[in-house]
Amino acid sequence: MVRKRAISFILFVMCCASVVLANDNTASHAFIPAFERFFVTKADKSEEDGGKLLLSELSCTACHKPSRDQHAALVTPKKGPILDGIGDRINVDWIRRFVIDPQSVKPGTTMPSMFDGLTDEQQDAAIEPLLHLLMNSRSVESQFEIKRKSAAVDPIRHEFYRKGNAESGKRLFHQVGCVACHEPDGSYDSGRTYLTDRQKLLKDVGLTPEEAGDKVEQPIASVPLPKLHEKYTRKSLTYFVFDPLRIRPAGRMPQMKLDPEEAAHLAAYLLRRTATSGERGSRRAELDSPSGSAGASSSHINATFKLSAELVERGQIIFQRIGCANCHKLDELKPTRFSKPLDRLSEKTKRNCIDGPHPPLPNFNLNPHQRAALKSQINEPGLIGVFNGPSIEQERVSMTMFKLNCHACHERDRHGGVGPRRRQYFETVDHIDIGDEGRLPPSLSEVGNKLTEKWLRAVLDGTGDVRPYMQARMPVFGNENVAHLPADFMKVDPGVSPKEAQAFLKPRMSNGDSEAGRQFMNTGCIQCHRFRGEKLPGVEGIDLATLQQRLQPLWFYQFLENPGAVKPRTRMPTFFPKGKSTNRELLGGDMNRQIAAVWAYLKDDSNKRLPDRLENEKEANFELVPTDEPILLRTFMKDVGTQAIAVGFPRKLHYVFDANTVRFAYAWKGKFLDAHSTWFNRFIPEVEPLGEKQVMFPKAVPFAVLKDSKQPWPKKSITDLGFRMKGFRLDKTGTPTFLYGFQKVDVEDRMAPDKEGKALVRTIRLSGSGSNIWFRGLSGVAIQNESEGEFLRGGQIPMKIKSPPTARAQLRLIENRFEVLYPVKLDDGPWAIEIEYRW
Amino acid sequence: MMSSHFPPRSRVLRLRASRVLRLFVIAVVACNSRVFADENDYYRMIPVVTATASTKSRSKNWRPAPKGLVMEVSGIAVLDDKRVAVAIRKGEVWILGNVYDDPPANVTYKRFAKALHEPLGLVKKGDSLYTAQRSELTRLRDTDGDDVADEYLTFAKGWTPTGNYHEYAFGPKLDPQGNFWLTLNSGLGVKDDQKRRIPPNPTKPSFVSDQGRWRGWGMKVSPKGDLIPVSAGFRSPCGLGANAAGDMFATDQQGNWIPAGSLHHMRAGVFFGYPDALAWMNHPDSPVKGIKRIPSKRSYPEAVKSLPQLRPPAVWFPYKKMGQSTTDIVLDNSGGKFGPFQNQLFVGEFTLSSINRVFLEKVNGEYQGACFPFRDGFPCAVLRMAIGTDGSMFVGLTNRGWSSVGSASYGLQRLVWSGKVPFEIKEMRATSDGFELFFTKPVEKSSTSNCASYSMQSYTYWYHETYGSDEILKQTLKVTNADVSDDGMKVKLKIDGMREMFVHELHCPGVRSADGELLLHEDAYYTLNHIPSRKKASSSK
Repeated sequence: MVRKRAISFILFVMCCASVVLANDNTASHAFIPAFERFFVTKADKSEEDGGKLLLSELSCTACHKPSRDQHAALVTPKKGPILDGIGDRINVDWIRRFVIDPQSVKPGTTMPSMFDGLTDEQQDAAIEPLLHLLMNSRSVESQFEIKRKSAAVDPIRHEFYRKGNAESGKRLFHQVGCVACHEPDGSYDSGRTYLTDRQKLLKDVGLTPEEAGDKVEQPIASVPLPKLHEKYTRKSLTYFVFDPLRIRPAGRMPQMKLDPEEAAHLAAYLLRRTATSGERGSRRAELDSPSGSAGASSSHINATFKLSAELVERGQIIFQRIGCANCHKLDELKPTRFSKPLDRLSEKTKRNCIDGPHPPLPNFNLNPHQRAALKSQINEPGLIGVFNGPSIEQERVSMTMFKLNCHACHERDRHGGVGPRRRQYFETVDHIDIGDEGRLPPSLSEVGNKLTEKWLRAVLDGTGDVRPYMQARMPVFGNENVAHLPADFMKVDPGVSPKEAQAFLKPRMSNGDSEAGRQFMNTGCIQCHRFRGEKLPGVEGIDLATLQQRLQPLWFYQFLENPGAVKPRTRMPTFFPKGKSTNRELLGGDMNRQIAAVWAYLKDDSNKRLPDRLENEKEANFELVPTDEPILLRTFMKDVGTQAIAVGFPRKLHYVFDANTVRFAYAWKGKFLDAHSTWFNRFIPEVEPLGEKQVMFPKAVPFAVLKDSKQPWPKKSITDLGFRMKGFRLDKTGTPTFLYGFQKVDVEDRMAPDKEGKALVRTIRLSGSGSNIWFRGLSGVAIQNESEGEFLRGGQIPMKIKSPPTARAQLRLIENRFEVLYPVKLDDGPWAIEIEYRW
Repeated sequence: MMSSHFPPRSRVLRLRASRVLRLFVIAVVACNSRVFADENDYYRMIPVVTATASTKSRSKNWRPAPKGLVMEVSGIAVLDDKRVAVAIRKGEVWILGNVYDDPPANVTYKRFAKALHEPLGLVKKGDSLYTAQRSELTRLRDTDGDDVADEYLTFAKGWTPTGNYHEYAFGPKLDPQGNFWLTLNSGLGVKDDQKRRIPPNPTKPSFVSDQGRWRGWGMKVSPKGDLIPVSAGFRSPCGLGANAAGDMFATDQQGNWIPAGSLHHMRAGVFFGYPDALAWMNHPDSPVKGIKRIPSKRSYPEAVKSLPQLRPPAVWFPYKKMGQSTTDIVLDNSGGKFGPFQNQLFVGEFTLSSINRVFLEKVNGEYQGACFPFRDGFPCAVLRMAIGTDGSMFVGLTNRGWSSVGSASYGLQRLVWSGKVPFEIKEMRATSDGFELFFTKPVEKSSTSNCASYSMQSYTYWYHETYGSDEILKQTLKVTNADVSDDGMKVKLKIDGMREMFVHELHCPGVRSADGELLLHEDAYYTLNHIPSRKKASSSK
């Protein structure tokens, strides 16, 4: 006993020392981040607020209920982790050591020592049954699986939790925001040094912060990490960091929006980090789930623990009796014992939980600051119902931000923000430089004037991410813990009443000209901002598509009018210096009308045309524009089918050949094709030509064997007619010659624009043998013979036979259609014909 | 208030159970903090082409990186000891030079061919490259020596592209006789215009829906260009390849009727399970005959019994455990330059961006065997592989149209053996009463002869129209004896209760090499279509 007292005294001294240093990870008192940061020196916040925070964070009110007239919401007990399934998550030996001496096993924990001052035998008598009770709870966890909506869209590797990569985890730990609260790893190097804008400025002018008169910022103590490798398996830690709220709904450790693979990486890193004092040579020394048992497809932690039903039952009794159930959910074990209500506690009580250890009372291992703060509450319990701020909303906002440690990332009303030693870890994706606002989480000062309530809710429920360039992630804290914040911010923050805002905005921002807004976007906003996922090359800024859902109009107006006044040091440029627009043409250069126009354009409507430059950029990615040689695209094409070979020429005459029916299908002028659907759409819709003045060629094969010119053109399928596609050849100009054949005849068929780009010239060569072969050049309901060898179809596609001049074309009317036929002679070797199509 | 809450002390607990247990747990933890061998120590990835487009391939706003060549690899043909030809999804073939450099700092790019309709394979034969487009097998020739193809010759065609997105055509791969082999996806949801493009098919069996001609078939193309249908019943046979004996295999992917990824030996007249492929069974050229109906919801062994034309795959790839979507097949013919797995097959995995390894043996005249994890962690779906002239493996990546783990949407990697032999199960052979495992390194005898070092379960799948299948009729099997050979390279496991047509999943967490290493991959999945007879088993020794 004496020895134990002595040890706790030494620990006590040590923990006082650590508070002085405010920087020591081995702090062995209950560690509440906001308390450490704001309530240890009284400069910032009142002792009463600190006490209130502790009542909640130490879960005092789980046993000492607040009275009805106290604002219980402010001192809701944080409570401990849910213990269902713990037998599959946490190593039983770790639990044993932890409950005996929480602070030494998990420094900083708010779990009190429940057994201080008991003999070893007394401890065992209580702890063994509790362990059996805990080990009895397994099925919940072993049946839990991380499921994705679709295994196809969001695949996860088999046993992904065994495949984490510690180096990737280390990167995540320093990038996503873990280091806002936890200690950075000295060995981490992001590959780039980040200075804050202020530091940059001082560096540029050659001043030290002291010389510039800057207040020296105190480093902020880190939330300690326990020896995780002694506690978790790879699987259970991966599952925990993937969604801490499942186990710890209080949200003090929030969900960081990791995907399962990232969670595995992070777990691998954390296990390695806490298993080795240094980083060197430790890559492979990773704790795996105990193997050696069947299957190895799930972790069999605690497999050797032999359960005793009798002890489980005893454990249940103890669990409820000593108050575990007041803070921890396990099975259906409800709390049965409560202590004195909050307002009946007295500082004068000798045996209490604050000064501990006073067995069998819980000992919270507090430091003197914490004791003082708590006692200030107990002395005047009435204070709990009295607000320091002007309203309950104000107080709720401030308490929630302390409890959830929002200040670790966000500044609000000059309190908090990322700590000085930690800022360098807040990076941008690919280290792009868009100032501190690109990498540090935004200030929350007056956030109730900036964001809509709806968007605040989205941000808090995890669906409101808009900064793709920022590595740090806005965590999810759990709806229960933050649901009140949006409305509270709205109430606490407005500098201007809605009525006044309306009166100000009405003459300035109503009836905006949406089309003018689109043009304004074109010359301004999209230089830096994404819009509906589209962007100009190199652009990184926030997507403006959701702007109206996010921002309040007054804030938007004021921000556009003078960005620097709303957001100091922002990179957002001023488009309206001294209230004058830099764009004098649009809407008469009127600032109000221009801002109103942009606002009107940004009304959520995805059918609105994109700003021209984005539209062009989008098309430029996939529009095929022949420049120095023809472009060929083999694809599914409208009115052709599945074997279309489209050929586009720099002279802006284009056609498509159908390799299925071996014929030219149609031709057109102007723009060629958009290849997006062919290359990048899974369902490959048919392509339509982009150009105009489309003309059609006959739908059947161009050659046939006819007894005489009275026989109708055959209607059989091309295979039945003996036609076969043989491919194509590209000549030096890149122009294809299509190769096909029928019976004993080989055909080479080439078509390309003439020099002026006014007509398509087609050359057909036939070789082989055969007789009674006819070529059909045209067919249609109205064909007239204009002059020798020149025909007109439907007034659209004039066709002219250029050579051989002796070719004797025959115009015939058959089955109510006109056809232009030429006899083919192969007796004297190859036969050729040149035709010009001009339209 | 809480002073009297503790129940009376238990005598049992006076043993200081806590201390005893603590020691025990520490011992367990110590022996389980396994040294994690890393695949990277044995097979190193060298990125030859890295993706520069950052958008996911399924994103609505997908766009190529500025000026980036989107190297979505769909075919690889090794040309010589400097160059490979690579087909890409958008329809081009590129010749890449200096690809064997390490690091490949001076890769050169030359476009060899363009305007191909989603080519999904590439081989070199003679002076030409051959690739399967959606509608034809095309021969690409450069006739004037400028490394740019000027002839795009239709080498074979005759299957129907109806225009359905799912009708991919894969290949070709060559067999030793110089035949080209292709596999043709079945259409999914063929409708409207697509149906109208199907040629008249008056003998279509009534129990299947409309499909284009030879959709869902494995095809052979003779050196002259004749198109010959071989086996029917594929859903999405994304990869094919010959083994060392020259027999041609194809993989299929989990979906409706296909319970898990699979590897099939293509041979004439065999049906592999996807019913729609039977739409052209009654065509005169079809070697598959006489299927009158498709059994509904049977276990695979029962389905095979009731439908003799239906042959089970040589290897199942249990879903998730061994990937979600099998792709290419490549034979290790490197003569040992790619490591200890000569003459084995490697099978690509799309969704989980990895490569698995396959050992095959013939039992009762049919191929069967085991698959093993091989290499994980590619940055994108593995679609194509080819062994280079130096015995390294080119690995082509693209996840267009689907999704995969990893950070990229395309790329080309080279996988190089480090020269260090990984401790692996090299072969898993069936015997009449168990399995024989052949290792890559001598084992430590006491752990390897300990039955507790192994665990085994067996299961099969539903043959049904539903997408995928659970593992059904599952049993845990006992390893009753483990007999290590004198040279320590082999262990003979005696197993109780082996079942034909069932997957036998083995784990060997306790096996250690003579150097004390754990297996790099301790799991193996044997598809036991046939249990060898006693006589055969002994003769194979």
